[in-house]
Amino acid sequence: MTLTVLIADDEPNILVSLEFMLRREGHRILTAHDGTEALDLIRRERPALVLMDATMPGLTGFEVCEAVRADPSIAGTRILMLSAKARPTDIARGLGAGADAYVTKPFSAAELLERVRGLLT
Amino acid sequence: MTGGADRAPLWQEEAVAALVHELRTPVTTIRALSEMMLDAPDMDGSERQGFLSIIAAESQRLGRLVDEVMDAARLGSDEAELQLGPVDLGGLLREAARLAAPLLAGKDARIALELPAGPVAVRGDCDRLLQVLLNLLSNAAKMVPGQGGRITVSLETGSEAVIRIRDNGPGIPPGQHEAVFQPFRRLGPQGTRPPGTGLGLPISRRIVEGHGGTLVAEPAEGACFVIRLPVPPTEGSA
Repeated sequence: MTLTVLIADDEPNILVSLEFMLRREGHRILTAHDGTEALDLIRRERPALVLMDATMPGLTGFEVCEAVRADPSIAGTRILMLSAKARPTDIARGLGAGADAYVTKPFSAAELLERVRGLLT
Repeated sequence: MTGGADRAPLWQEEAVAALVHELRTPVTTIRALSEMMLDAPDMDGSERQGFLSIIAAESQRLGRLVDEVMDAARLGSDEAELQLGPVDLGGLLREAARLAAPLLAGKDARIALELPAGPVAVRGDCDRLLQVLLNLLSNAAKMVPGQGGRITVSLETGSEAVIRIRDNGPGIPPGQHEAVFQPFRRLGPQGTRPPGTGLGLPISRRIVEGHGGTLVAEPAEGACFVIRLPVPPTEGSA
């Protein structure tokens, strides 16, 4: 079954990498370059999973996460937060905002795919 | 007593955290793409070429970051001796504009010079001042629109020499005119992050201050950076 996955990051090369990786998994991929665009796409397209950078312009990943959890129509969206912020307080903040998983950059492609598969089962 | 303060490190703990953040991004891309290429031997040739160019570009970005970190560290130490000599600012601005012109390739944009007729002499480090001008011009070149882009470089002189580099890009967000000089604070319109290492402006300010001058961003249509340099007394007046 084809699932829709949204990838949101303000670094275009990271978007390219993630898009390739997840397209090979057979998913339909949407991309957003900032938090506002990401939240808009989540509301319109209802992706099964969102991979989202924590520090994006517009709305941050944390803010998008909180907005998703506060909106009953999309609150069930799975969210994997990606971040170069790797301190325990950053991870706690991401999970506290409602992310299902928090993966720090640089990540291994294999490890990230494991997490994605885990969230989509 | 102020020698130490003048030579304060360009960055503190917060900036080191920002540096680590900047390093993680290209490393993430290089690692993810190279691992995927290893895992996908069936990848088609054009996709492989595309990924290799991204890896090369991200490696170059890491290299630039390392160079600029070293440069910034040197400027914060006693080794950062400026090689002072007579510099004609008009000539230096013409040279900077000539060197920066290729940065506008692919855009309908140009650099306009508004210079006084005669030479404007200051004492300075020619290479370091050129570094500052090229940094400001390359920032402007990134920000000007693709159609009708315009960078204006002007020089006025009196008790001090005043260089203004203005562009007709989106400008600096309100209230951020000082923040752009913080290491790794790349600020674009609506919170976007323009390309760059995030060290060019703090390094440039440190160089200008080393000349006894100032570098500030002034509120304007587009971005406007202003360098003020002391002009030595003319010969015969001493």
